[in-house]
Amino acid sequence: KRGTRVAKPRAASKKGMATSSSPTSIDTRSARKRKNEEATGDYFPILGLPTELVSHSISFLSMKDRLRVAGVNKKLRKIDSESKNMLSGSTKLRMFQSLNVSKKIYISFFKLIGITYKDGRFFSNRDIEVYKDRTITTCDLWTIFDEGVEIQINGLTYATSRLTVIFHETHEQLEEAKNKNEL
Amino acid sequence: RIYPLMRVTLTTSDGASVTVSRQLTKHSGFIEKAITDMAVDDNAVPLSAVAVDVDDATLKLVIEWLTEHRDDALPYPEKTDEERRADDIPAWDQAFVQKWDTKEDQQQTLYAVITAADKLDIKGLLDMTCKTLANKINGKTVEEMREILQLECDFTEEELAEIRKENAWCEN
Repeated sequence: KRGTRVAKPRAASKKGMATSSSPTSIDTRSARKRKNEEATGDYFPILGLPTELVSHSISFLSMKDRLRVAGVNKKLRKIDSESKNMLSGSTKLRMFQSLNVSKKIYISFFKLIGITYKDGRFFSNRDIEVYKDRTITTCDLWTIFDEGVEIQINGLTYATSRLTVIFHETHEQLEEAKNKNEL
Repeated sequence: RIYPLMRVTLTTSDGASVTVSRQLTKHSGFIEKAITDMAVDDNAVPLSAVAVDVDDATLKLVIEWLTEHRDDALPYPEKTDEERRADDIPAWDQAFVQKWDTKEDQQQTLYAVITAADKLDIKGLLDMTCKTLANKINGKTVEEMREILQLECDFTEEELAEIRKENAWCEN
């Protein structure tokens, strides 16, 4: 396990400003690099800010960068998933994700789009493709392709699941996504 | 109605007093509400002091920004998601941030100005400083983001594999 130290936002410590979140752990492995960043001003302990300001800041990022932010650590993943600015008014929506979807809701969702889930299997009158990821052992990840739409549902056997819907604009994108699931 | 010569005195968290034109404070939702709550005669010059939870050094930066933006349109135009981007910071604002963003204490100042803009409800300044923060991680890899934001990865290997799988569609 890598050694850690506790970082506190300098502004909060020096200027007596209140912070809404707990101190942030940082990795000392990159201390040299960080020292350089301090010199050039290219770093910022973002979790020293109140959650709503973190959310506001990352709302200016592209979807791609926001997905990366959500992969930084659990706290940022939670903030990003709860962000109000994620989808409102979006006109270029290509993907949406909903966390903590109850069984009742996802079954209704599937029913709405003409897919039935029963006894661990998916049925549809349309030509859908269903994949189950067997590389993840802690929870089940299902991927369903229905023409250009990819639907991922994670944690079907749990009380709540994560539902992701991706719209593939081109045949190439769709095939690439399918190939990943076949692997 | 804002009279150009009308002035208001602000008292800072560290005990300083600064008197500024209401042409500047009209951009602060907090100060304008405080003045409204006082129910004083708008012709009173200067108005009673308004206490702000911002230190003197930070308030000076805020006033500098407000002075440059005194003629900005009000109410502040809300951005749609389509318009939300971090690379449209005006040149003057970029230079303003650059003055302290390259100094050793830049993160303190950026932190202080973001929180001051939030407390004073100055939407334009809040957006600009949050965009400045967003630009620090814009286009960076996850690992680079961790370095810049000083955060440790606390996901398990399985969670990481899951995240990589979820994000694969946009990483290629």
